[in-house]
Amino acid sequence: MIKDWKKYAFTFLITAAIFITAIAISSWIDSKRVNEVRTMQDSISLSILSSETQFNLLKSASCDDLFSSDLGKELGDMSDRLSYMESNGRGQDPDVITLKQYYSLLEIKDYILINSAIQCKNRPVIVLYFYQAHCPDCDKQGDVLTYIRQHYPGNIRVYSFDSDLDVSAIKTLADIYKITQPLPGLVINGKPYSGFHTIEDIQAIAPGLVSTTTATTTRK
Amino acid sequence: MYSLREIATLGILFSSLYFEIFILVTYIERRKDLHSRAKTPAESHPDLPGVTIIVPCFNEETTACKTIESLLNLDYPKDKLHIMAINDGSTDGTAKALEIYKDNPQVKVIHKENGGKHTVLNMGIAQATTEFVGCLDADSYAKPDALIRIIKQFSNPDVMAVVPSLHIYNAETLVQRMQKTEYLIGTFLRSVLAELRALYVTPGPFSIFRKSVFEKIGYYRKAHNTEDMEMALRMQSHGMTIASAHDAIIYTSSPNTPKKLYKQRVRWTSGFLHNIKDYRRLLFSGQKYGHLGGFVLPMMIVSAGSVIFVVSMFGYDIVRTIHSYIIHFQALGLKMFEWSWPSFNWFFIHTSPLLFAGFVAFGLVLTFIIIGMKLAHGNRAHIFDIACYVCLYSLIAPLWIIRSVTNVILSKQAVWR
Repeated sequence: MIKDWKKYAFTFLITAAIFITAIAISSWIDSKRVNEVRTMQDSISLSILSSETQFNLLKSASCDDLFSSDLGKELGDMSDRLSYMESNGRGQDPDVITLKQYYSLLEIKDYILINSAIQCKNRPVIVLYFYQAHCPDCDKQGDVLTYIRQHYPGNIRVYSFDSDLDVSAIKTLADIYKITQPLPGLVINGKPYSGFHTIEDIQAIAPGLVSTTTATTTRK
Repeated sequence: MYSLREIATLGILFSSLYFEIFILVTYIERRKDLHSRAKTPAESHPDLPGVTIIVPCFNEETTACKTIESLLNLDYPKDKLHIMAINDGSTDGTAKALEIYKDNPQVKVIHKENGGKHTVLNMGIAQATTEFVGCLDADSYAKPDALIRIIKQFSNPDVMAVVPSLHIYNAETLVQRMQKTEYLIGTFLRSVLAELRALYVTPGPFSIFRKSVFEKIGYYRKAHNTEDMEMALRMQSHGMTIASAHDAIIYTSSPNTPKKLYKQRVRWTSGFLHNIKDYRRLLFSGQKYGHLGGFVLPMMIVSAGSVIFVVSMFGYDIVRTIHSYIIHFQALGLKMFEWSWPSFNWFFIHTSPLLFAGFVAFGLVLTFIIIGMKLAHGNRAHIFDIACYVCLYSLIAPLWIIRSVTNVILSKQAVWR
C-alpha cells in the first residue's frame, strides 16, 4: 500500500476534482437563482415606484395599474422562489435574507399605496399575514393562503411577513394591528384575526372570494 | 453554507466515490493483461496437474447429480480429475441419487454423519492425494473450460488459490435478475481486488487451492457460517496470494425470493463482520497487509456504517414528508389534491453538489457492470436486469446490512438454513 501512495494520491485528486466541479456547478446554479429573484425584485420595485410617482403627481393613481394582477402575480412568484430557497437549506444564506428583507419592504410599500387608493372600486381582498418559523399552525395557514391565491388570483392580495426577520417596518405594522403571539396573525381588509383560519373562515370574512371566474374575467 | 448533515453525506459520497475511482484506476492500469487472459483459448493437455473437486451434498437430491455431471464434462484429462461427492448425512434421497456413480472410477462417493460444511471439506481435503483441491457446491455448475482456465493461473508459483467468476444459474424472478447484475459487478471487483492482492473471500463454488495451503495454515474452521471468508482472511494474514480467474465461469443457484435473499445476505454480511472482528489485526496495517488491511477492509466497514447513516437520514426525510402532507391535509382537507402546481420552471429543479457527485458515482457503477460483462465473456446482463438491480438493490440491501450490523453488535450468529 505504501509503495502505491502515488495511486492513492492520484485517485484523491480525481475525486476531489469531481467534487469541486459538483460544488461549483451547484453554487453557480444557486447564484443564478439569486439573480433571478433580484431581477424580479427590480421589476416589482420599478412598478411600485411608477404607481407611487403617479399617485404623488395626480393624488390618484389608475386603479387598473394598482390592482393589476400582474403585480400581484409577480409578488407571489417572488415569494414562491424565496420560500423554495429557504426550504432547500439556504435560509441562513445572507443573499437570501437580504432578498427577503427587500421583499417585505416592497410588500409594505405596495400595501400602503393600495390602502390609500380608497376611490377605487373592485378592490381585491387585502390580507396581511404574519408568520414565523417552527410554528405548525403557520404552515397550515400558509397552505390555505397559497391555495386561495392560486385559485382566485385577481381577487386577493396576500402580503406575508416573517416576524423573525430583522425589519423594523414589519414590527411597526404588526404593532399597528396589535398582532400578538402566538402566530399566525391575519389582517383581512383592515381587521385583525388571530389563530389559524380555514378557507371557509376566510371566505366568510371576505365574501368577495367566492364567485371567482366572473370576477376575474370582468376585471380586464 | 452547508449543514452538518450535508457535510456528513458529502463525506460518505466522497469515500465511496474514492473507492470506485481507485478500483477503476487499477483496472485501467491492468486492463490489457485482464482482457488478454479471457481471450486466449485454454486447451486440455496430458501434462496437467491432478485436481480433486469435493462436492458437499446436504439434502440436494435434485441438483447434486447435475453438479457432478457438469464436473464430468469438464475439459480436463480424466485421470487427473477426481470428484469426491460427500453426503453430509442427508435426510432426503441424496444417498440414493449418488448411487449411480458407484462404478464410475472418476467419482468417489462418501457418506458421513452430518457435521456441517467445513467438516465435509476437511474430510475431502484430508483424503485428497492431488496437488490441487477445490469444492463445488451441489447447487452450482461449471462451464467445461472453467477448471483449465483456473489451473492456468497456477503457473505463477506464488498463487496459492484461484477464485472463479460466479454467475446466476437460470435467473427467473426479479430478485434473481437483480443478482445477475450484482454478480457481474462482483466478477469485475474480484478481478481488480485480486490485482491488488486484496481478495477477502474464496467463494464456496469452485475456488481451487494448492493442497499445501491447508498443510501450512490448517484446515477449515467453524467461522460464523462463512468459512470461505475465514479461509481467505487466514491466507491473507499469512501473506498468501489469491488470484482471480474471471474467465472461468461457474453458474450457481441463487435465492429466488426477497426473503431467502435477505437470509443469505444476513449470513454473509454478519459472517463478514464477525470474521473482520476476529482478524482485526489486519485492519489499518497497510505496511504489512497491503491494500487489503490498509484500504479495502476499512472501506467495507465505512460503507456499512454509511449505509446505516444514509438510511436513517432517508427515514427521517420520509417522516418529515409524511408530516408535511398531514399539515397540508389539516389545512386544506381534500382540497389539497386540487393543488395547482407552479408551472414547470428550472428554478424549482432540485440541484445540489450531492446530486451531481451522486450521478458520477452511479455512472461508475454502470461502467463496472459493462466491464464485468466484458471480462466474463459471453455473460451479459439484459438492460432489464440492470434496471432491476438499480431499482431494487438500493431498497433491500440496507435491510440486511442494518440487520447484520445489529447482529454483530449484539454478537448474534446468523443461521444457515
